[in-house]
Parts: sequence; structure tokens; C-alpha cells
Amino acid sequence: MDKSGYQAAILYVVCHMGLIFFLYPSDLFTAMDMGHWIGIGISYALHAAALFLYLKGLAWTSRKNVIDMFRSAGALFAWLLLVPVFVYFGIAIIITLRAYSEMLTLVFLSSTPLWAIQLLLIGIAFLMAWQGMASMARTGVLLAILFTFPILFVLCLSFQNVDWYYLLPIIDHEQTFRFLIKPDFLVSLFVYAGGFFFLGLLPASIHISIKKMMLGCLLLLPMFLLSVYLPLLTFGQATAEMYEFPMLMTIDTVNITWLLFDRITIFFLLSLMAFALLYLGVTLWVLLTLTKRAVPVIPNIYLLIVLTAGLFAISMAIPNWDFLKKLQGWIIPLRMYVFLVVPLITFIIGWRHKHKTSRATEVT
Amino acid sequence: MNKSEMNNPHMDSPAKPCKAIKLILLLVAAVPLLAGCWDNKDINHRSLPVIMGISLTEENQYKVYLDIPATNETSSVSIVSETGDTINEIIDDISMNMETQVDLLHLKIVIADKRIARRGMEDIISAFNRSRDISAKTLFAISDQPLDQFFSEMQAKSEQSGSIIYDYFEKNAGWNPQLADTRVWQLFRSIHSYTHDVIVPIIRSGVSTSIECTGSAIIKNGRMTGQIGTDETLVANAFYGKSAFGKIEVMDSATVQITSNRLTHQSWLKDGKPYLRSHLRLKVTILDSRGHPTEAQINEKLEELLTLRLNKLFRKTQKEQADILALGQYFRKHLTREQLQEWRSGYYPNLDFKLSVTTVIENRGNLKNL
Repeated sequence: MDKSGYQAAILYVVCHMGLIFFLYPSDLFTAMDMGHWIGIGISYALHAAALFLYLKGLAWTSRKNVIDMFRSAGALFAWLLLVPVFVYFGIAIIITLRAYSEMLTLVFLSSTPLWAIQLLLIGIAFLMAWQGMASMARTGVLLAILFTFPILFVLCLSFQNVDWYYLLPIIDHEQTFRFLIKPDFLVSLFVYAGGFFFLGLLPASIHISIKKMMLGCLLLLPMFLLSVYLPLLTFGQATAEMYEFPMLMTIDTVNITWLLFDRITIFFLLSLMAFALLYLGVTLWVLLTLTKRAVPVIPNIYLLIVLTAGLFAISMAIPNWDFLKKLQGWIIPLRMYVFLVVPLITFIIGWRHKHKTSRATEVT
Repeated sequence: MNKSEMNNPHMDSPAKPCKAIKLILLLVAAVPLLAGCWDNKDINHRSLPVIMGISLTEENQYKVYLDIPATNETSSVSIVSETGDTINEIIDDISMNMETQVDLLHLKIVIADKRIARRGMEDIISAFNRSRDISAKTLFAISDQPLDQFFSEMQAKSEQSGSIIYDYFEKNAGWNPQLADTRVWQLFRSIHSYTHDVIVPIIRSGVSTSIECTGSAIIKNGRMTGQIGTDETLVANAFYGKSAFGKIEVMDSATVQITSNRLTHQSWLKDGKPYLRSHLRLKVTILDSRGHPTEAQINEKLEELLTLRLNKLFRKTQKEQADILALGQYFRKHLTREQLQEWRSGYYPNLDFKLSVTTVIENRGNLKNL
């Protein structure tokens, strides 16, 4: 059996799993009143298309990374294209760091100060990024093996309180697509946007197979749906939109008498936190790789320390939850850029590259 | 460092011990962190209440009772109470005056006074949902008698075990289908949902048993608006699909036990008036019979009885505009969201609801004949 390509695909799935279940449902509930599946469907289709374009573009240039590809179109061009990416991922780390530590204090570390959790999270991400991509890819496989079972177990049990009638009405008679430009909806695209950029920076030792990536992408579709529909079917839209973390509340309502543990939320949360840590590590590594190419003279480890310290300081400086929400609103253009424009440019450059090489072979 | 080593191009051996020492130092430095807890309090410095009672004082303040199972052997339950303006303030006060910290992580049941239930409990329920340590699946009950009295009788009776009330409600211990089973998150949902109200058990301390259930309270938007009996609660539970092992006495002829139930619905809207036809299929086994009724007779009487009870229940809730059977859910496909907001006031009172019951006698126990 061909085993190449699994590491990258698993890493991709794991990074997204760490993101989907936390901020996404709440954003979508604020954005849409009904017909949630339309919103999920559209953004998922965009995601799959972007992923495909990105991978195809990369494949055509025969495993050059994104930076080299953009550079082939001119150094200034590359700077212009990659600086927004850098900023976006910096903010993405800050948001993840801050939001997840808030969530951890909310669910079970109520007396631990925020800075301690943030320090722990970014510390682990730092160690991961330091060890490099190869070790992170292996960690991804290990995490997937360890935590798939608890996550599936919890997801199955959380159907306990569903009321299928909340599924109705499946479609509104006057369904419009106005939600597509609502800020809340655009904020919810957070989970779709940043999780695949790292594929363009993978070292040659980690093989990418487009087929396996698309299979991994298919695997994510039920997860997107579950993360929204489980809370919706349990609470109904009117109640679900009041919760900051609807998915965690849903799991909190599960009552199993035969299980030794009182609340299964913690299993779910910790499994997904491990995934989220990997996402943080991968994103930090993306930032490191980008910075390294911009300023090649400074050794990796110093760059990483500076980056980590800077991100930690900024995430500490965020005063409150509302500001975090606003921050997510402000980076909407950047998010759309990373989500849609970057894959498109990659595709175009890859396509031109392919044509150039085929013409070159014709001439010779 | 000698000369031969200096000439060695692959000279990395001197670096190794240094690296190892650094690593060991780092690991030693991490030892204090190994406890892994922040501001942790040992279990023996915590009080873990199982039951919380909330009532109103004359001055409209909350009075909170906490039932804390004791960890020592002399007493089994201690009950503490305090008054104040908000629940959290009271808990804090209690915590301050006790030698241990009150930790609501394992709170199982919240009992509200009837007065407070009638006045409205939206604030309390929202506070529970906002709370970081109260579980969303904490049970809710309403006390028929003043909580002072309830808790003092509870304390007197709980000499052997501190978890009587908890066991009373627990599905794998004392719970019966005649008891409503409503959790804090369901109450919260009912406050915000357009189509979903709940029932909550009403309890009091019993004469020979420790607790008695006197029926269920109808809770609409967090306020108790009416009351139903235990028989009606059983029917409501049958409607929710939670009635397995419930026993029904069929007048003068038999007692049957429900083994399973299945519901189908047909709903439509005509000229803005909602119509609902539901069909309840019950499988029952016969527990005892008086005289020698035939199966058909039992079936007929049972169906009649259940239809009657359910209709009575339905009329009552319809009058109070409290949709405890969540019948509005079946109209989700006919009404828009704006219309659903009006469900309780605009549509539910006009609902034409007919229930037909079919019972199937699964078996007659060990005896062939009735």
C-alpha cells in the first residue's frame, strides 16, 4: 500500500478538527437563523475548491514551495503577496491562543489565570515549531491515532438529546444569500481559511497526494455539519445562539449513568486541544518559514523566540473578549485573501509554469 | 582539550555532556510545575453540595440552602443556608463562613420554593447557565412546602445516607416515569424556545418515605403557571418517549406496564388554524387483573383512559398557553420563524389536536389466561 501522502493529509485534517468545534458554531448561529446547511455548503465548497486549486498549482511546479513560486514572478511581487499572509497567520495565532485559553478557563480551569494558559499553549507550540515540520507531521499521526476514538465516542453520545424537529424548516421560503456578506458569516470562515496554507511550505520529504488530501477534505464535511447541527438539534436556534461555545454546552447535557466520569466534555475538549496545539505549532512554523526567507541571516531559533514572544505579548495585550471579536472582524479582508486569492494565484503561477515548461520541451 | 581532538573534524563529543547537563537542569527546573495545578485545593478542603435549595425571604431576598454530604463519620449531612441578593453572593458568603470552600461542581439537584417558581426563575436559570461550575444537566425540582421545613426533615431522615434526594431522581436508582425529569439546560431552552415548555417535579418530604412527589409544575418562560398530577405526568412522559416501565391502572380491570411507546404525527395548517393528529402506540404487559376481563376490554379501557388523560392535560396547557408537549415542534415546517414566535399566543390556543391511542398487549406474564 502506498503510504506516502498520509502524513500531510492527516496533518491537514487534525489542524482543522482543532478549529471546527469551538468558535465556528457560535459564529454561524449569529450569522444565520435557518438553513445553516446552505451556509456550510457554500463555504465548504469554496474551501474544497481553494484547496484543490492550491494543490494543483503546487503540483505543476514540481514541488517548489509557495515562496519560491511567488518569487519566480518577481521579488517585490512575492513580498507584496506574502506580507498579508504573514499578518493573517500572526493574528490567527493570537485569536486561537486567546479564545482557547478563555474557553479552558470557562470549562475547567476557572482559577487559573489566562496568562498561564496562554504561556503553556504557546510554549508547546514553540517546542513543536522548533522541532520542525517532519516531527510535527509524525505528531499529527500520533495524535490522530490517540484521540480519534474519544472524539468519535463523544460525538456519537451527544446525539442523546437531539430533537429532530429542530431540523425543520430545512429551507426558508424567502431564503436569500444576503448572509454571505454579513460580517459574522465572514468571521466564521476562520476555520476554512488558514488550515491549508502550510501545505505549500512542506519540505520535499513529506509527500502530498492530491487524492488523499481531497479524501481528508471530504472527511471534514461531516465534522462541519456536526459542529453546527448537534447544538442546533439539541437547543434550537433561539437558545443555541446565546451560547459562547454551543458545542461544549451540547456535550455538557449528555447524561450517561454507566460511565465512570460525570462530564464527558473534558475528554472532548482535551482531545481537541491537542489538535489545536498542533494547529498552533504548524501556524507558528509557517510564520517562522516566511520570516526565515525574508531575513535569512538570523538563525532559526532566535527568530522563533522573537516571534513567540511577540505573539504572546500581543495576545496578552488584548483587553477582553469583545475586542477579540472585533479583531476577527477587522481581518476579514486578509482572511478572504488567504482563503481565496492565494490559492488562485498559486494555481495561475503553476499553470503558467506548466505551459512554459511544456513549450520549452517542444522547442528542444 | 588535547590536540588530537582539535584536529578531529567531527568533534562533537565535548558538546554532548554540556548539552546533557543543560537538559537535566531544564528538567529539574520543571519539577515544581509537575503538580500541574493552579491554586489547587485538596478534596478535603472542599465542600461538595449535592442539593441546592432556593427560596425567597419576606424582604424579597434569595435564601439559599446547601445540602452537603459530610465526609466524616459523625454526621451524614450538613445543611447550611444564607440570605442575599444574588445566588453567587450567597454561595460566596457561605464559602467565607465555612472552613472549606464550597464547590458546586457536583451539584445534582436544584430545588426551588413554590413561591419563587410562581414569581419567575429566569434570572436563576440564566445564572446557572452562565456559571462555570454548575453542570447543565443539574436536575430541577420545586418544593411544595417551605424549604426550611423540607431541609430539616431531610436532615432528620438522612441518617443512613446523604444522597436520598439524588437517588430519588436518578434514572438508575429511584426514578419512575411518573416523575418529570427536567434539567437546567432544558429550562433554559424553554425560556428562549418558541415552541417548547417543560414540566418540573413538585416534591415534599413524605410521611413514611423520605420524599413524596405530588405531581409536576407547568413551567412557561421560567414561571410556574399550573400544576398537573402524577398520572398526567406519566402520559406526558409517554409523549416524550420516556415512559418505559410506567404502570397504569386501568379502572376496575387491570394494571399494565408500558414496555415501549411510539408516536407518529400528522400536522397541517388550514386558514391559519393548526391541526394535529397524533397516534400513540403503546406496548404493554399485564401485571394484574381483577375479575376476568378480556384483552379487548382492557385495550379499550386503556385507550379510553389514556386519551382522556392526555386530552385533559392538553386542555389545561392550552388554556395556560404553555406547550409542554412541544406540539409546536410539529409545525416547524409549516410556519416561518416569525410565525413560530407567535406560536404560544397565536396558534397554540386554537390548535385542533386529536390523539388516538392504540395499545398492544405484548404478553400476559406467566399466566396464559386473564
